[in-house]
Amino acid sequence: MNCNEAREALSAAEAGTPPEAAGHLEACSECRAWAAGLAALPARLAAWPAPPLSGSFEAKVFAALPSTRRKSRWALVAAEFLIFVLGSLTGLGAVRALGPGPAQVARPVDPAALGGGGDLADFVTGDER
Amino acid sequence: MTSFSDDPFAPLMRRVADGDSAAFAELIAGTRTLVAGIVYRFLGHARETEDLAQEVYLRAWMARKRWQPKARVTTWLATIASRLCLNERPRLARRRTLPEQDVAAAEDGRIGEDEAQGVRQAVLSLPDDQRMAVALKYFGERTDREVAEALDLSLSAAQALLFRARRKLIDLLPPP
Repeated sequence: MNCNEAREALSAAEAGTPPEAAGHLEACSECRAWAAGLAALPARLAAWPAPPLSGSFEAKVFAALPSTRRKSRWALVAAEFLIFVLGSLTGLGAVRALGPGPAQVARPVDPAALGGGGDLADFVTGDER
Repeated sequence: MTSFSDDPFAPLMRRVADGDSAAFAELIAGTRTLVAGIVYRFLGHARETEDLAQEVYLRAWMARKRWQPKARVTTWLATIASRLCLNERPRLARRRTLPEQDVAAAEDGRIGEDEAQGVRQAVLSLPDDQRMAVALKYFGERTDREVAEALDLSLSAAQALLFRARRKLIDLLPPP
C-alpha cells in the first residue's frame, strides 16, 4: 500500500484506522502526520461559525408559501356560487310546490343542510394547509 | 437508501405530509440551524443563505406529499438544500459584485477571527462538488452514505470526493 492508498483508506474509514492502512502508518511518518490532520479536521472546521438566521425566518418561509389565502378566496366564491345555485334550485322547487313567494326563491341553503359543513369547510380551506 | 425508523423528525414529517402547517413550523424550528449551516458553508454568504434556506423549506413543503421515510428527514432536507445550492450558485455568483464578495465575510459576525477566516477561505476554495460534500459531512453531520444519497452518487464516488476535499483542506489547514 502506498501513501495515497493509505490516506484514501483512512479518509473512507468513518472512525479509527482501517487495518489495511495500519501497517503503512507504522512505517510512514508523513502519513501519520496526515492522519493527525484528518483527525483534527472536524475541530478545525468547527472554528468557522455560521451566523444565526433572523428571528423572522419561519414567518418569511410561511409568507413565501403558495398563498392559501388567495386560493381560499376563490374557493369561497365558488362555494358561495354553489350554495346560491343549490339554494335557487331548492327554492324553485319550493316555489313550484307552495306557489309564488319571492322571498323564498333565492334563499341560501345552510351548508350543514347539504350534508356536511365540515366537507364544505375543507373545500373552502383547500388542501395546501 | 437506509431506513431510519427511529428518526425523531419522522412523526413530525408525517404530519407535515398531511398538510399540518403547525408541524411544519416545528420542523423548521428543529432543523433550520442544520439546513442553514450546510447552505452557509457552501455559499459563504449570510444574506444569500437566509434566502436559499427559505427556498429549501418552500420546496420541502411543495414536495411534502412525496416524502417517504426511507432516509432521515434531515437527510431529505439536506438533499433539497444541496441540489438547490449546486443549481443556484452560478446564478448567485453572477449576481454578486466583487465588493459584495469582499465584504461578505465582514457581514458574517465573528468571521473576523483569524482561525475562522482561514477555515472560511480554505472551504470556499474547494470546487463546488467537494465543498458541498464537506458541508454535508462536517456541518450537516451526515454519514458518507447520506452524503452519497444527497449528491446522488455511489458511496465510493462520494468517499472519493470527500478524500479529494480532505486532502486539500489538510494542506491548507495543517494541525496547529
